[in-house]
Amino acid sequence: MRTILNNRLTIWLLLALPGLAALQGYATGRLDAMDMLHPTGEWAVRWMVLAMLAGPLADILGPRGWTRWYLARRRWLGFAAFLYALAHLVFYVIDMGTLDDLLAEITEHGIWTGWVALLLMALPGLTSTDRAMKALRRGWKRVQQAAYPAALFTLLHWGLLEMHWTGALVHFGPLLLANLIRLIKFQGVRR
Amino acid sequence: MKFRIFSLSAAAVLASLLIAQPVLADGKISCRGGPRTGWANIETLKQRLIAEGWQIKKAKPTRDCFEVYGKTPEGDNVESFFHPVTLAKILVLKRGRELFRAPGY
Repeated sequence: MRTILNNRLTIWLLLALPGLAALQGYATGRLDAMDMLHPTGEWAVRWMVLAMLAGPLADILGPRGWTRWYLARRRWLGFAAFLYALAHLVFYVIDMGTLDDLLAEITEHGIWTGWVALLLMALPGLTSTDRAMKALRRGWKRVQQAAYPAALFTLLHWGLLEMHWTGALVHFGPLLLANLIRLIKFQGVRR
Repeated sequence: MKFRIFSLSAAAVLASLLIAQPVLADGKISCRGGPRTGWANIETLKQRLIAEGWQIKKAKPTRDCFEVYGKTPEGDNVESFFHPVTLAKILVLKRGRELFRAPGY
């Protein structure tokens, strides 16, 4: 089990699995571009939340074997989230069909929030390699923190488009909760 | 400090969303369509909309409505809901923004 969990290929396969299942539906014609928007967007959020939960959980629970394992792999989760978000964009573009249609709705609150979220996600997403980490040195962590506003804009994008906040809040709730617990814990320590 | 800013702003967003929930929860409209045995043929609706200048991407029964994704004659990409018996237009949404809502719904 330990070998499986530490195998890079196995983890990437697990991260790719929901996308591959959806792509299979698209390839066979069972799903069209519009149908692909939900699975790609939702999995982007799931991997994003899982990536962002690693830090707060490790801070709350302290150093343990599994939190170290989790922390060491959060970059992969974050990068997977970015790839799913890119796929979400690709299917949105396919669904819209023309540049005119794309631009015509870019000012809608449910849409521009998604563009902002993706641009913010691109910062940590594109700098998640070892090479970027070395090149950016201390600045790397600051770039990675763009994930926080990206998460907020993603939540807004989802809620505004659906006109219903339950799904988005169910997904982001654990992240919010973990950050609040961490905040309370560290405020308690400072006192 | 950054975590505090994130947590406080996230809490503020969550609080405002929860307060706004009753206003925004109308995304899932009820068309009061009644039993499906009395519904019209969805093809009739599609043909009518095409004749009016709509471009239809997808039309399907959703809960007690007919749901149509497409482009209106005005050029808006929309998600719209129609009464499945009378085929009356009930709700038209453009990316979460309400363009039309029939009185009483």
